[in-house]
Amino acid sequence: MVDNALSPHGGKIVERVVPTPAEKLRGLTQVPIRGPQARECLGIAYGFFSPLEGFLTAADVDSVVKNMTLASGYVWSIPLVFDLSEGQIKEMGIKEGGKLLLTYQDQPFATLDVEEIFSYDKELMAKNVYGTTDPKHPGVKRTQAYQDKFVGGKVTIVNPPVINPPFDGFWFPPKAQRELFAQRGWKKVVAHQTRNVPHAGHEWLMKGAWFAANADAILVNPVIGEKRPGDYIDEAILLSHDILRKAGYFREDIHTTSLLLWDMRYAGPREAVFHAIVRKNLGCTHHMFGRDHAGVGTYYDTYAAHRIFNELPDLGIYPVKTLEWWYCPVCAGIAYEEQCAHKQEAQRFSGSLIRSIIEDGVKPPRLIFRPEVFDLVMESAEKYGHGSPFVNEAYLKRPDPVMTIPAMQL
Amino acid sequence: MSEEVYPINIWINEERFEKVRVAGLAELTKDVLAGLKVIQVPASVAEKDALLSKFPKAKCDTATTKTIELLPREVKDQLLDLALEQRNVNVAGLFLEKLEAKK
Ligand SMILES: [Zn+2]
Repeated sequence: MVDNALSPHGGKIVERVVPTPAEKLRGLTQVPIRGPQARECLGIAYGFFSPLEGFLTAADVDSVVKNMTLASGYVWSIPLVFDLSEGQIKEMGIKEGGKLLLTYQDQPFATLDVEEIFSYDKELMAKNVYGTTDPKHPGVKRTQAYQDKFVGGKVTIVNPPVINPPFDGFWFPPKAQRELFAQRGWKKVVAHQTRNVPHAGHEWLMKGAWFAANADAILVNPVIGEKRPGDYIDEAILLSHDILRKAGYFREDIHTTSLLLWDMRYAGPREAVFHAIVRKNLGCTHHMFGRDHAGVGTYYDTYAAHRIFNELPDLGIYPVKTLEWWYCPVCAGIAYEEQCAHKQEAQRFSGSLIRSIIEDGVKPPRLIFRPEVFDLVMESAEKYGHGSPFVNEAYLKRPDPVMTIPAMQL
Repeated sequence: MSEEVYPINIWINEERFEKVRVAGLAELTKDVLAGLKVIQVPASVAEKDALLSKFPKAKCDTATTKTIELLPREVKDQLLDLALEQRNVNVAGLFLEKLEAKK
């Protein structure tokens, strides 16, 4: 099933944020949740994951795993499930038809309607979603770590979080994002998914996609969530993309940055589909997909995320499939793989090369890395990264920097 | 059997290149990306092992690139300074001697 471009996936934006007084929450069974679950609750309740209204029930999980659609027929590629152990369910007396109060940071946060308690074959889930059951794959590892039971049902945020600086300036749930696009008069917006600080390869990927889509604007939408040692720190990613515009590499009237709270599954092509749907909900008409989109290791073919869209019905968001941008000494500039024939001479942007340069604090030529971005990355390292722009142990140990749940006495 | 060599990549931007040129080492640099260059300080097996044990975060992929990666920034800065001073890139041994002497 598909809706027209610009309409959210499923036809309407889900909004399930209902600030609720404490007395109405008293007596509900309390279940503490972790960061990833809290982020998923926000994604659902603020409509990023429309048409989902909650964690998936069994029929939806089965359909997503086997057909890449919800039971309703809408394309959906990643199962969002809420797991509990059989012991927890018994101990807390959780029953179908009940309602749970999910607490985060020791505060009431959201309710979960217990529509269905079920189990599902985790091996099959991993195999179909990730194309592998190798426990070294981070998504497979996440799947295998699920407890044995799942609770499906609607989620409602009852105590909305405060989004902390510097993240607050980038918090645009679908409704707010769409309003911003409308104010600016942007009808065609091409989304850029990233977990990187931008080098010129990324900058040209965005500029090229803007041309290819004949777009009004670019939405840079970094994924903010669970980190692994060696990743760029979230603050550096967000702020460095923003500074590309502030420093004039993109004009103010064609570029904006907002964040997506999401823990990468590294599901390659399936995750590409998920990214497309979320950005459609944000109001984008196009989405960039480069090499090895949302991949990890060698589990997926370099351009598997390009091909998957050929097998799906029109999602109402157009995939802009791009190959590599490189530096070509013959062309004497940044060049595109499909245009420049100097493949032998091409100097590629390798992630590990750029990382090594940044680690050594050596300011690269402005042609490959903007000095403003470099300075900002170094500044973010001091301010947010315990001295490093890359995630280290100290950064991993900090409490959730993005959101604070307001204190609420039950 | 000839002794294996494990290079340490030192990135050379424009600012550094001027000093490298003055030290007469410009010909040893190689263009990597859009004018960014690299100069390699070679390490022998023993020097590589010493570096890896003194700087446990450093890594060497002995099967593929053979380069020694993730040495602390200060170490690489000092290696470059030594190379400029000595007008020679074979300074891994000298660096380790100085490190030992500091103890
Ligand atoms: Zn060329």
